Amino acid sequence: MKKHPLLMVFYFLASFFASVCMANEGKNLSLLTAEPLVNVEIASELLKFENELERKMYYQLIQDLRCPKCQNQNLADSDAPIANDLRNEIYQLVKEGYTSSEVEKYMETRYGQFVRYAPAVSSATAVLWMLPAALIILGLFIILGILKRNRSFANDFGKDFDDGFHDDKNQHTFDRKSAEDVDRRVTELLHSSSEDQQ
Amino acid sequence: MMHDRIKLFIPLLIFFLLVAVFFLLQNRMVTGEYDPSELPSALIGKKVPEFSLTTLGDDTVVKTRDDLVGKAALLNVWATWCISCRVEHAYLNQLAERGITVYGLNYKDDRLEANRWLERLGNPYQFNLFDSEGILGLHLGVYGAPETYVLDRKGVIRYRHVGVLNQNIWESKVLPLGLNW
Repeated sequence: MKKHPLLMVFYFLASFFASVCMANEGKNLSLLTAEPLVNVEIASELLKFENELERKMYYQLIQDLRCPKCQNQNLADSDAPIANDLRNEIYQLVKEGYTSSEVEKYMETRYGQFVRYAPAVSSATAVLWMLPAALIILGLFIILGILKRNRSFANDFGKDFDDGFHDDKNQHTFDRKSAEDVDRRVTELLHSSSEDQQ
Repeated sequence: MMHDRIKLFIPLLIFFLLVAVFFLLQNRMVTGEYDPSELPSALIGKKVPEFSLTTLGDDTVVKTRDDLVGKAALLNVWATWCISCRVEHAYLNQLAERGITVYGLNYKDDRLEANRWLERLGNPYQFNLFDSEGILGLHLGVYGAPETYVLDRKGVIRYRHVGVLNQNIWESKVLPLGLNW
């Protein structure tokens, strides 16, 4: 089967967009995380906020901060007691008028960079930040390599093509030669057999 | 042609390489040398956060962080609902017998239950801070029990161990800190 280079570029871009979409999915708490959010939503009916801004800020924070116990769940998702404590703490801080970045800083000084889903770039998190870009660049180079190889491959063969027909000259002459051979042998046989009869 | 044949084995080689990596990691996890879920404390090199808590034994006695200063010590986070803490308790008793200073942080627990536990299993602690709301726990970055903070004589956190403290951890992690016990 012939792999079309453009198709590969398409696959590459499609998988890239898919991963970006999935990353956003996690952030926005849609399908995958719908159920836990419902629970939080119910619990938060009891949470009173001064204004809509504070409410939004609270929800953004519990989505962006990570539970130290149930690692890979954010505070909104996690059922761990510590997540509950941290949600309460964030609620209090929001009510006391802390800004988002202040709350994040507050959590970070206690639980470390780990609580942030988007930690600051440092020697420890460099791989986390750089790897996706590095992989994209690597992927582009691989695709370029494949494209280049395919082209030179086609060029090498192209020397032997006279036109659009995939017909090799040598093959052609060989066929003609062998056909003539067969022709000759058949005639000889016919002749010899007729000579025998005589 | 031969070259292409050999190329076919590359995925197999990668597979074996991965098997080897996972096997070694697994081994290190079994021995407790490597724990992927362990978080380094954000407070290493910092003083214990300020607090004002009553003791477990007497709810009229209030302690602050100045009461932890003066000697290298362990601050052990525990609770009666914590099964691993029970496992750990015997070793804490041993350390206390050897003259090591151990403070307790009774974390989100019931005062009566906790006192009963100490009567039954022995009390290795100089005193216990009673943190029923987990306030100091939160400032310390506690995310479960047991956890043990190693403090130097100035009350600076030098190391935090998550999980059961035992002889192995004591020798490999705590003693190398070179504190004067």
